[in-house]
Amino acid sequence: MNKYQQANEPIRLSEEQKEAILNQALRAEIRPAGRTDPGFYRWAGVLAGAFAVLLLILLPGRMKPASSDAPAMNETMAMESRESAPDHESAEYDSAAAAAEPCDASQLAAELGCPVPDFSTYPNVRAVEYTRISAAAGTVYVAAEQGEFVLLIEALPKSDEPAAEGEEETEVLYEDDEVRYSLLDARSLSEAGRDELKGFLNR
Amino acid sequence: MALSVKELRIRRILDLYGDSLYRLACSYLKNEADAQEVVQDTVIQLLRYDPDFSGDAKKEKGWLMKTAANLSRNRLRALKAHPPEELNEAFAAAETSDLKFVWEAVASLPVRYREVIHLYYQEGYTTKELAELTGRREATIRSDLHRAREQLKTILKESYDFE
Repeated sequence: MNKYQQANEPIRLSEEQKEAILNQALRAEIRPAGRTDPGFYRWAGVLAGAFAVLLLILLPGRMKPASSDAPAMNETMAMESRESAPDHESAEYDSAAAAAEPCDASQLAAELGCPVPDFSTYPNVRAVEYTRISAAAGTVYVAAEQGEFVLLIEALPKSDEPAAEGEEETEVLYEDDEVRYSLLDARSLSEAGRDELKGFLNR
Repeated sequence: MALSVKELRIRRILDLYGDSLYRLACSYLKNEADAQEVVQDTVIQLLRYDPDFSGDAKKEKGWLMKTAANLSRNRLRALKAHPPEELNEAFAAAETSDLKFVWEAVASLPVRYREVIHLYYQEGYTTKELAELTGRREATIRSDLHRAREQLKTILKESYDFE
């Protein structure tokens, strides 16, 4: 046993931790990858309905049929239903995935406030998945003929902030005043795939 | 009461690989609570994707380690805005070790380096296996290991007066 292994020796899962993990894993509703739980839509519908009833009770004077208020209220209801989703999901599936929210390219670009490449036009693409991981960062997972990779997209602050710890871990492929694209995980990306990706990002 | 197949499967995974997954997550996150959640999420991912390892234990462990590493990296990015507590306050288990300084020195390396150091020295993966696990080229892994060792030497010398 080397010194590092000896130093790690006390770091073990206790029986209590194992039981907690077991219970959480048993409780988590396991559904096939990439599919939204149908129960989510049911609950979102119930919440939206309840909100609409509440509005009818609390704001009777403001309800005007076919007026300009209607779209605004629909928007509010939609927002309420969207807001309720993460709570419901995190209660059911409390995981790191909660921090990484799936979205599409335009949504990610709007939320980060920086350009996000549209990989639906990438050469020979087989699968694309966008996720937002924080207020200023997101990732794109791309599987294409030349291999798989995960691109980290970071909206850069306008001010000259010092580089954060751990930034060395990624290979920067493109950077300007607004955005930085780095290779977070090259997976099976070939050299040709790397060149193709650089060309795509720099076009 | 009889145990369900799912429960038996989770218990087997935790008994066989729980400590390895936990140590790997700890090496990234330096925080017990987050590391425990990463192990939990790794188990959930296993149940969710149900990959076929054809009875190959090495393949199974590789899949779990890769998933735990990816989940740890995701969590690390999410925690960037709210960094975890300092090691000394948060990591009780390592406190009991006489070789705490070794753990601390590795933990102070950039993520990229402590990842390869942990998998190489703790788990005994070869550079070829590390390349498969991390998606980097083998030459890159060798160079990362070399740089990590150089940085470790400097840290141990400067911070712990260790020759």
